[in-house]
Amino acid sequence: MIDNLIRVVVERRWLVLLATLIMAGIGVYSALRLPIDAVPDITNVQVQINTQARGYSPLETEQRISYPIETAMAGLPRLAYTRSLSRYGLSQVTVVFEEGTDIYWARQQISERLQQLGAELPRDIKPKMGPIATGLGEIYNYLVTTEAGASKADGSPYTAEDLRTIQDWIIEPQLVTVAGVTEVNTIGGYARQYQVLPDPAKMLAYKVTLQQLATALQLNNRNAGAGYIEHNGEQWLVRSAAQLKTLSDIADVVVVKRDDTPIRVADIAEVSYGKPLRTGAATADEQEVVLGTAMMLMGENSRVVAQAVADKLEQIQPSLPDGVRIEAVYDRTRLVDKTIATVEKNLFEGALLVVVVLFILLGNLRAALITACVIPLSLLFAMTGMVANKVSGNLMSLGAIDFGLIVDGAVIVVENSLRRLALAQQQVGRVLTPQERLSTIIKSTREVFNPAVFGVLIIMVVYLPIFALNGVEGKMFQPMAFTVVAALLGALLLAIIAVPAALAVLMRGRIKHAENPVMRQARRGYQPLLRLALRWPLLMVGAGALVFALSLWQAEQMGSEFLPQLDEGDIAMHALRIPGTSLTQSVSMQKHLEAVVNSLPEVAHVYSKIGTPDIATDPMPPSVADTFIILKPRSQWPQPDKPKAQLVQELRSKVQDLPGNQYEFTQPIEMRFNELIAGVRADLGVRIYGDDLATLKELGEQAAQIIRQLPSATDVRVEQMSGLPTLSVTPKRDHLALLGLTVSDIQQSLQQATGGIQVGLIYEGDKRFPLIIRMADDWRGDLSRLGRLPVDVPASADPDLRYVPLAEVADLTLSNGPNQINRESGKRNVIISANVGDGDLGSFVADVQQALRQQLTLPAGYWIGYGGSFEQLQSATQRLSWVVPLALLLIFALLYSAFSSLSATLVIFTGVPLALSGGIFALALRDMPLSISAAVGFIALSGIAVLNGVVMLSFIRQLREQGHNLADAVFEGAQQRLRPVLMTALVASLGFVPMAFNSGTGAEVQRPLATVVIGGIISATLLTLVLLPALYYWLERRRTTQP
Amino acid sequence: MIKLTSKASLIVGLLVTISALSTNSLAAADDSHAEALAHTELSQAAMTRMQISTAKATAGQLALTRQLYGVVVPRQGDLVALSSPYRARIIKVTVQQGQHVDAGQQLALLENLVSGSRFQLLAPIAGEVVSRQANVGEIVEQAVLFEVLNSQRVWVELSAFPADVEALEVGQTATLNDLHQHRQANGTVSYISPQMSAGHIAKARIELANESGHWRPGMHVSANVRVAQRDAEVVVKRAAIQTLEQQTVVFVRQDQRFIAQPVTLGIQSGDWVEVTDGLAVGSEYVDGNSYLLKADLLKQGASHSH
Repeated sequence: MIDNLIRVVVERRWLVLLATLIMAGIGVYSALRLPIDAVPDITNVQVQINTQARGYSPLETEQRISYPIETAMAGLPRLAYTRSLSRYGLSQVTVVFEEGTDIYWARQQISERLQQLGAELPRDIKPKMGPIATGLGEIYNYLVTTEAGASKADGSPYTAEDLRTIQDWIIEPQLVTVAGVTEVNTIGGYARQYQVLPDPAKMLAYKVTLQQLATALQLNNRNAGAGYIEHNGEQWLVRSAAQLKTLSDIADVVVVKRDDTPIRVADIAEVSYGKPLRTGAATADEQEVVLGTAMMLMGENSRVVAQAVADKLEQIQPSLPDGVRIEAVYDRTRLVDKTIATVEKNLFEGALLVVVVLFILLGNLRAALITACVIPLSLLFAMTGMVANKVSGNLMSLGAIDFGLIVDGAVIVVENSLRRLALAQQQVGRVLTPQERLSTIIKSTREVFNPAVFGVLIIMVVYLPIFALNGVEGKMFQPMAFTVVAALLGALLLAIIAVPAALAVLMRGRIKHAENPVMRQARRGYQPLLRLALRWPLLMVGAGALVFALSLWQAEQMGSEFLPQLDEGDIAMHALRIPGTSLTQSVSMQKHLEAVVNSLPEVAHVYSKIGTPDIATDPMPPSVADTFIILKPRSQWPQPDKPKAQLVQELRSKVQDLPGNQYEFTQPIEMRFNELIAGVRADLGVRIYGDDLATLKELGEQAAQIIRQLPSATDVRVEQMSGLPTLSVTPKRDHLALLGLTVSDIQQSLQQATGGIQVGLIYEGDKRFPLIIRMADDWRGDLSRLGRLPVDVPASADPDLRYVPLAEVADLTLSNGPNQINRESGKRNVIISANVGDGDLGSFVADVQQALRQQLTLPAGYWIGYGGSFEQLQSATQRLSWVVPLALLLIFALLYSAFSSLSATLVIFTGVPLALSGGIFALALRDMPLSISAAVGFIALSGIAVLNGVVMLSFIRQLREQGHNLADAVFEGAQQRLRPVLMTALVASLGFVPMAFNSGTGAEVQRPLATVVIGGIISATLLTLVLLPALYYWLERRRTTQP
Repeated sequence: MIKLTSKASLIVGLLVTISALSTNSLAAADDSHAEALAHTELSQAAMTRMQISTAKATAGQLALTRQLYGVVVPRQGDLVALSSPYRARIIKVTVQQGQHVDAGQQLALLENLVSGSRFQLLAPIAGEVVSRQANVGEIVEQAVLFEVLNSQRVWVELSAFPADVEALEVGQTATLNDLHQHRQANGTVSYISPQMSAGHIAKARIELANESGHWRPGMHVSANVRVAQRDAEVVVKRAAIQTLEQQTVVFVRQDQRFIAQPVTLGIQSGDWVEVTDGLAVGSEYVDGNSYLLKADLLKQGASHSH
């Protein structure tokens, strides 16, 4: 059947080439539609449910909102777990689904449950689902700012409130229409509010109550339609427009009449634009600004969408008032372009090297070009597969393609055909006829068909374990495995179908086949070595075993890390302050911080987000700020080759000087990933579950103390659960009863004074702003004044008693309340986090578990859970520990089915450990630790090692079948196969050389992989050429000598 | 003998060791006690940058004030209502509403309907005629014909709730403000009602001079009554007070070291507060941006989890 296939392919060569061209066309089309990003998206499938609860303390939020929502979500199909946090005024419930769940279906399920829940939640509480975005979603940040000295039409300068209004009502509605943008998040400035600030003294004087004021404002602010009337054949619509439009309209509203005189709002209150109570603010380069973030829909192409956003903002700019401009501060395309440049550079240089080597070793330009063409064609094939399966193109997936590997199959076919054609030409003494040429090609292809197909299949099988990884490491490496397997599949198909056809078409006329000088030298050097190996086979085997043992010892000495972190080029710094810090204080501390950061010459600019933005994707209290430090391009640094770690260290020492801040250094995308995937960011997280907050706090502190005693523990921290300053106004119920007041009277007065009560909306064209009644700031800033706040006593018998001071009927106490309440899977918990200093993670965790079991006594109803990044390392190594042997077993089976000889299979298999040794030594030489990235390199390596062995051994066996004796067969076979083995090895290793030495963006993730493969190929090739023939010779000799 | 000596020396050695250890531990305890006050260090540059300012604690005078609301009323006897003693007819009215009259000035001439004799209505006090209900030719019996108000001095009746009444005393001075903050006046508390009204309000009274006529009876005012005055030994700015782990502290400076000194507070008035214990006169304390020092001390606990 295979013979028929090859014959058909070669005979119908033009058709085959046409089909290849069509496939290439489809490939180009797919390449244009490929979603490209800098890094793979490792966010899990999750939906956030955010609920704003103005005025609710953490305890109330938890009791009335978080708990019912969590309970309602329990039992959802495909649910992994839920977690929630309850903070002042905000409840966030995160629902995490199993991998592979469709996000839209998940949102549908949640929305159904929320609807059913509706009645159980308090009035005016509306849960909202977060945007359909992931950790990679924040692709574009921009500032709305003014030119220096710009002013409005009336001459006054632009205020933060004006800028926010422009952002909310002019920029955002237009930006949301861009394809691929799911949400525009805003932080900073002040949302406009119309405020009525009553003076209690005047209200007393006029005997006006708050209720009367509120009612007057509510009832005097409406437009009404009243049907239509018919008049003389015409239809007139009836309408009464009496909405309040301006501040003076509001001031003129009549509240009540006294002595024939109307008392207007202006008589008892001040009317102005007010500043609402904000949850978040933004600063940039020491100024307060308005910051907008464009969020990309899940699964879109970040480069395309970011570009579209930039274009749209340029279109919006002219429609803004004079002097207001939009300034971009973070654009994802920068990072994507840099990583793609790295990938492109690697691919291009790799391909070039491959072509050069092919040409040198083959000595024939046309043959080299045919082999080289397989590279782009297989890549296009892979991209078609990626687009069809929604695999994104990024640093990991595109960057790990080794063209040397991919052209292996083609190399084998081309090399053999070239040899055979040259031989035939030599034999006949003239140029071959087309018939002869075709038949030679058919024969030569058939000759190497099995080893070629098996070789490529083996390399493909070797990547299969990677599909078995799950979690974070799975998301990182599966795209890579998919891409490589798809490229290999394409290359295989091309090698057995298109390459013979191309050879048949192009290799006409005189075949130049000189043994070029490089090969001659190689052969001359190889022969004595081979003879030596055959004379002392056992010595060779012994040497090999020694090398392997040495490498194992070396591996024990080496450090290990989980995954190398991509250097995004920019720095994200968390500035943490104590809980309870006010927003104003935080903003002022942040401005000082930005001044210090800007003093470093490598910094281009700084911008920060303090607190929580409009859409609470990451709810931070006002005491936490995310500072984004955008660096200048390296060429503009005073010392362009300063390592980033050193820069971070300098930054750290400078900002430590500022009092009151605690810092964490990370990077923008890394930070978002951590927050979404969440749980604990340290090496080890101990969670104590229970009910009572005070008990949890105490247990947490005890556990932290116990863990601190352990020698290898560092950075032990208990999460801060309390410490939020709260002013509690507790009504004195008996006193209230005496006066005829109710609790809600007091609460309403209090709300009016400190929080504000909304009594309507003011429309400005499309824009809508709330109308709020609230006391002036000097009432709210002073605690003793707050005690004097007059509470209206409605309809009391005594005309003197129209009011009573708040302090008379309520206790005002300052206390520390709970800051935030965390729940996971329905239970409150406290988290103690710790990092391991020296010593390995596994034994550290065991020590901690033992210590806690012995020393910490938990009351009934409390239990401990363990988590943190050690879980990931454990699960990954566990998985790999059975998947990798399985893959090796598969290879074994494949080899056995190809050769039907146990000894042959074993001989080829020895290539694997010796290839691994080379990889380990290469890592040690470059001082790199073992990591999952290197592990993936080892996996790729095993395939290559086996392939070369297959190539050599199959030829040796063929010679034996043809009748040569053992020694001759081995010698000749090895000699003959020197060139293809050298070619595949050189080409495979050179393909990775650019990657191993690149220092561009993203290179640190690929370097371990490339280093391992190069080192391993060197050692694998050596032993294929030397050890394998010796071993086979020795084994076969023993077999034949023993009857 | 040898055995005894070695035993003795062992015992002596033990005793010496124990005493050495105990003194050590005592010293350590002392040290640790001294170290028990939380402190932090800040460079001068950081202080200037973050605008952390200091001041010296001094003695001072503090006045505690309470704010009360009240109404201006005419003094007892300053508002008189005049009516006819007999059933009479009004013959002449000699004054208009708003006219100023002297004591004894004739307001109207009436004719007794029964006896036919004429009599005058005279203004009992000097003042302004605020109400004239009399017209020529009317028959009057008991109705109020004229009201005369002398508003040269007025009373301000303040509503004192139970908590206020405890602090008020006759003789305390007060500053009164009208509702629009246009005018101010000073006065003294002259009377505090021994009775409480049904709404638990006791009236406190201040007498005011009113030559300008600004303080009209019926007007609502607010009063800041100085209920306590003290010469405090040590006063500090209110902005310097912070709470640290349930304790009230002031940050005292020793060179570049700032110690959180627990203090007990007395009365506070305006921007100043009295310190009764914990701080000596002349100590340098942080008064501007003291929150930053609290933040610096507690920042170990600053964290952010998800």
